[in-house]
Amino acid sequence: MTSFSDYRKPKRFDASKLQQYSPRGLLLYFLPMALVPATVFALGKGNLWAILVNASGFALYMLAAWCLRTGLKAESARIQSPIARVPKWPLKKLAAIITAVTTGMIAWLGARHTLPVALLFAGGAFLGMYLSYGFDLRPRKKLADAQGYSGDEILRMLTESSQTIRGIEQANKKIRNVELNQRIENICAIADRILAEIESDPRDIRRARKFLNVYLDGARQVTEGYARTHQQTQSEQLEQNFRNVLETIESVFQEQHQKLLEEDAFDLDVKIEVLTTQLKREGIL
Amino acid sequence: MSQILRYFLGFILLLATVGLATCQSMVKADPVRDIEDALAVTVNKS
Repeated sequence: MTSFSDYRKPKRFDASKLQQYSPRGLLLYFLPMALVPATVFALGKGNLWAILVNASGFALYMLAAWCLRTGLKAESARIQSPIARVPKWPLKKLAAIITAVTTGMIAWLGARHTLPVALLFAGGAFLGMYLSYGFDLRPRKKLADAQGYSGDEILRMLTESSQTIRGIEQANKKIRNVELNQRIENICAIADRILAEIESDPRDIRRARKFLNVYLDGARQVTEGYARTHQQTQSEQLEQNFRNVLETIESVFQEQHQKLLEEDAFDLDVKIEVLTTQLKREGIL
Repeated sequence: MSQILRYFLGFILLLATVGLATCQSMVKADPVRDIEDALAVTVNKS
């Protein structure tokens, strides 16, 4: 149960939550509402043909609206994170096609327009969908083989790392400290930039391998561990240790990103060892 | 074409096609319309 004191604590702004409740695409759920009374009227008159046309039209519009919303959410996730999973089907285009076909069908069989006029309705609906929502982003180009890794292996490593970052973000939501939240958000943002850098130039994979395997996972373990522990006990010493670790992680992440940008072949192994030692010393790893 | 104009045009098109087709379908299915038609025929006959 949420205690009163929880409401007094500041809540961080979460852009993904805003996107989750975005009204974009909801129009398609509301526009065909007239088909509900149309179906009821047809039912009252006992007109089986009209019932089938209106009810199936309504179902198809709902399907199109679902496809559109799912496509828009996937697109938003793809923009936020380049490694985000892309839907198998071009959902926005599918929504536009379903809307166009259904509008043509309703205009022809429901509103009893002539076939050419119904086709104009269908064309107009398709164009309207394209102008309002556009079509799906092009599928991500296949990653090239690099440094002894196949493109698929690199993509798998990047996807796993992206999931690790999302895990850190989830753990961050459980931590009630604005300053620490901000630091963790910065770390996740830098990590996302590093992944995007590797995706754009897979040759960086060798230098970033330890970052992906050791660092990122260490950061998640630390954050999840702190999120778990600080809910049970409030310790200033623990908080200070966690703050120190976050500072170190942030600076090394920034350094890693900078190295990738500069294409500097300097190995970060030594710095990684230093961080690992510090994590162990602070008693977090 | 600016983005807002594009969205606006898309909205108008969707409203004009999906909205109009579904509303006309509802009007065609409306039982009141049949009663009015029947009344009009009766009035004309008388």
